Amino acid sequence: LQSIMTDSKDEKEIEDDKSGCPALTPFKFADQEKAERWKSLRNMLSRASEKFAPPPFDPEEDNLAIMQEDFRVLVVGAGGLGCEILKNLALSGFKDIEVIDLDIIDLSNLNRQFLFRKKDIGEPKAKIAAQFVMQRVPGCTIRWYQKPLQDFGEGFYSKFNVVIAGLDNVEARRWLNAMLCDLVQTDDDGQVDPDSIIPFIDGGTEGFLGQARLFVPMMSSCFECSVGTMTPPKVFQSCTIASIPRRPEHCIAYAHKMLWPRLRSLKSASSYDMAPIEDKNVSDPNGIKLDNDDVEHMSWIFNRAVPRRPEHCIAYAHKMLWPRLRSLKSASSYDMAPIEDKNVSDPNGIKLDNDDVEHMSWIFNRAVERAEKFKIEGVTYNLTMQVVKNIIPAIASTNALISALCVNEALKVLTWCSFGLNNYYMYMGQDGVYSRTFNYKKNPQCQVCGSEPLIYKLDPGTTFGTFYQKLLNDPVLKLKTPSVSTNEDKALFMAGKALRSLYEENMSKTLTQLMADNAILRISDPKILGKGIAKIKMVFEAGAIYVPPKDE
Amino acid sequence: MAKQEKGAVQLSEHAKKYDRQMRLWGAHGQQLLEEGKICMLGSNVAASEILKNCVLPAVGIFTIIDDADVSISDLGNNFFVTQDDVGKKRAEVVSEWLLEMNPDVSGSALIKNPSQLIADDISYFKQFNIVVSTQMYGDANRKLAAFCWQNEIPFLSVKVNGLMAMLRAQYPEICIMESHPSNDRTDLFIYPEQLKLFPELQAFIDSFDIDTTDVEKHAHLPCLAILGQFTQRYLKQHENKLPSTYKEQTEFKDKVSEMGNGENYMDAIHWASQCYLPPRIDREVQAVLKDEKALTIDAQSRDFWILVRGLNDFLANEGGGFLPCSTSIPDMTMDSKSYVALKAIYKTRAERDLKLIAGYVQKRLTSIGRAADSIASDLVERFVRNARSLKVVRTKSMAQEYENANADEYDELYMDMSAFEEKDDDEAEQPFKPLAVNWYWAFRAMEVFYDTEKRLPGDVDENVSGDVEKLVAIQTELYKTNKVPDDQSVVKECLEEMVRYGGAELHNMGAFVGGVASQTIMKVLLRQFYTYNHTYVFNGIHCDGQVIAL
Repeated sequence: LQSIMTDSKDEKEIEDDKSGCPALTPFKFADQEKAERWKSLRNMLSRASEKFAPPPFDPEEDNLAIMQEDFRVLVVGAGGLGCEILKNLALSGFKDIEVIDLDIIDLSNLNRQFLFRKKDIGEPKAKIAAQFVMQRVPGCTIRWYQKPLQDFGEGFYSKFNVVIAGLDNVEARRWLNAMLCDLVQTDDDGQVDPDSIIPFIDGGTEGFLGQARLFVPMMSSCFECSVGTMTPPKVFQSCTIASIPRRPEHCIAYAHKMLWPRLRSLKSASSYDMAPIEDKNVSDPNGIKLDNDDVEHMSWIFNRAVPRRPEHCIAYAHKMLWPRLRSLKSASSYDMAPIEDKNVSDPNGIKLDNDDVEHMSWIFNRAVERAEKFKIEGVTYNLTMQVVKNIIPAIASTNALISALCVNEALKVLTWCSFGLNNYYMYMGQDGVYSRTFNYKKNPQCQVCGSEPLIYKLDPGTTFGTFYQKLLNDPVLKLKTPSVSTNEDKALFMAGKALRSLYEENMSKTLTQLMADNAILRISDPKILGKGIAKIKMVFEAGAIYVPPKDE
Repeated sequence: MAKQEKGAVQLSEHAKKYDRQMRLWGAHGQQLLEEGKICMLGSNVAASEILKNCVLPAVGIFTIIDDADVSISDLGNNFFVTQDDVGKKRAEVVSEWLLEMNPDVSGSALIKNPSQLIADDISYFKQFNIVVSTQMYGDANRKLAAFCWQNEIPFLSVKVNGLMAMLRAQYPEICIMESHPSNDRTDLFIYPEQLKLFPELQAFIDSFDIDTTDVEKHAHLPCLAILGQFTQRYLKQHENKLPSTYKEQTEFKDKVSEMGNGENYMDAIHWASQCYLPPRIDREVQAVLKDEKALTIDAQSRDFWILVRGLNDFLANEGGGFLPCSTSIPDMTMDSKSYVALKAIYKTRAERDLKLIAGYVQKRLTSIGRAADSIASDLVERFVRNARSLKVVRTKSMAQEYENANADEYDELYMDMSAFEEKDDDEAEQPFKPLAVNWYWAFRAMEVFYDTEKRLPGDVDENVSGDVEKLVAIQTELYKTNKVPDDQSVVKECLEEMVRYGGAELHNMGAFVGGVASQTIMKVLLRQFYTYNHTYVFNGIHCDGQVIAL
């Protein structure tokens, strides 16, 4: 169950094409660095304020020098928020900065990621951003990495005084949050060692909406505390489908969730036998197990799925036709496997590149064909991009204001010159400039910083496989590849490909065969929780089926 | 020529570059943005950061007015100067580095002292679509505000001091067609009174057998057919009365849900209320419809008001009091054929409504001596499509605000805000937190201080304690002249904090107002989304902002 990460590589800083540190730009007016250059920071850092900067703040002239010499800041993400954050840090006097971003620069970034120019397209974001800021702001050092977060271990993260994230996805935030919570040391009495706490500041935007949050690991609520209240993953419960009607996938879900369970037999995609709706015996054990890789199964679903809106046609082309593609020279010249060919989604298939115009055009053209067949209007290339790439609108102004607040919090929390945000700032710019600041409470059942396990009440005769399915779909935990063991370290299921088969037999065993009532299970998921472990208490109760807690 | 083979889609570089923002405001919005002319007074941090966020999305033209030179302290907070620029004119340097970011934008610098220009040649500002002043505390700022008010030019006044920021927006009138409301305003036209006027939809509803036992047909019954026919039965059973009480309405929905459990029934329950509640016209849309300017128009009227006049004509006649039908309908479970047919019914109706409204608009245009086609047809179409999201914002003028503030409004403001403050039981000690309005008055006191002293309080260490006393005296006087309620005392800590900052322009706060102000500029130019009314006070100590209007 141990995590796959090691710390060894953090010790030596290897220069390669995936990381580096541009040359320092010397400051020409070094003699005026202190007296003149940082005038804007000086008053706040060296003047007293009884009510707004209580001790430990000590208004000293050398506060700025301490900050510049001693503090190391990590920025995660060099995109819309990251570019701003780097600029703000450099102009807040921070001199020792590192930045991680895996992405490369695209033309569509230029309307807001202001450190990038047309000539930089295709270059690593972290590298260009570091170069630009170091050149513009003399004396500042920014080391950059074009690597995944998970490539770095405790040794790397523990050297920073604050971590600021400008990420575009929840998973990376959760992983980072778990890492920073994990770094907090407690003594034998359970007292937290304050020196091991690295404040974590998280910014996020979507169009006119934004948020800035300050987490003090293990002291305040953490990112994971609120994960359960976020938009649920793509589980197509029928109410979700009805209440969010513009989802392209939902008529597919109709066929999948509503019609498939009624299927009694299936010879081919067009020859089948379905139970009438009155028959309550749906989803019975005699139903046909859906195989995602079986083209007959998938075709059946798509044939049942009635397209009504342009999004449905795009989803059809994307999910159904693309996997059958054998070769693609251009959007109009290609070779597609006939539907009878079972070898779809095999490793020889073509990997869809969202940024490739030919690829996207191909999907668009197929979607148009589908739409024409059903006389559906409104399939556009723009919409195709939106559906397939799941594009989030982004503007410079929201990124700017959220990033500014993130760095403002970093400055305050490190120098004590004012209060820290407690702890959630939410901005809604669509309708005026409505904003709200509130304290997001610690969740005692949080799987990263909480102390109480989640409780699963299940019938003791439930199979482990059923339990595992529930775990996979748990809206609070939102896991990817969970491994499960008992509190006594007896492995029940390991998610790794090689190990999987060893535990496959457990899937059909009942819970009583594998564990005692009230057993504590340890759940690990390196992709989501890092080295962290989620705990679940298994409570046996005849007839119980676990229903996840509803969001408030 | 050979038939065009469907190949790769060619998007222009412009479309790709601005894709992420045009998804919010459309190509027509982008065009308005690119025609925008911004005037910026000052080339400090806030000014540079505001313009940065305007240049990136390609606002047309900007002009920076300032006569300051680049100093070494600019190298510690302004990103749009370099160390090689020290001694040069800052407005020119900032303008140059801003333009380096985006070749699609043009801009220039005018090397003049902003206050001097206001005194010498205030008509200069007439050429702009929006005027923004930064860090202007003196009388000149108020003079500029008054000029902009008279000439109906939107005006923003931005101030940053340490961790505090205040953004005052002043516009006599912003007419917003596309306010992009966050609540769903779909009107399906299934209220019985509406259906009477819409026989095509009634026919569609009646064409289904909602009692069918055929599984596939049952699962694909359009929710409109279920609802429409059920409502007819309900009326028959209930002496022609629609459910009016909460209990009756709940029963209505329960009955619908008893008829089936497919997604189409989920849809039906979702839309059920539109069968028994008359379509409600949003409060703000109602205000627009009843606005004096919408009732009496003349040759000077803005196109917006002539369009509203035409809409009112439609409402009074063919519309029967109901807003025009929308071309787009939400997704609802049914087979493709029915959905396509239903869409066509709504579309035909929407086209009819558009034609009628366009006719009224033309008549009204002729009546005021304008050419019947002097409002472009695509504008009429956009207006009609957004009839449910019309909005008008009017702020007070700065003169009104500064001459006399209404004591009643104070009471409300102080009350509302203290009620709004969150009480936290868990934590014993709460950090000291004055109200937003206290910070507002602290900024106002700084302005008076600047008028007399020609400097900002706390500029040098020696002045700190003396300036606090001066500010307290000023604010006490301000409270009196502005009739602030007696139970509100001057919060000295706010004034001390303002003096502590001494007018410092922290980069982060400059960047923050850069975001908020540029977004406001964007909305004003786009005539989309709601622009706030009228002062945003942001407190970077607690990271808390609030809109107040005095």
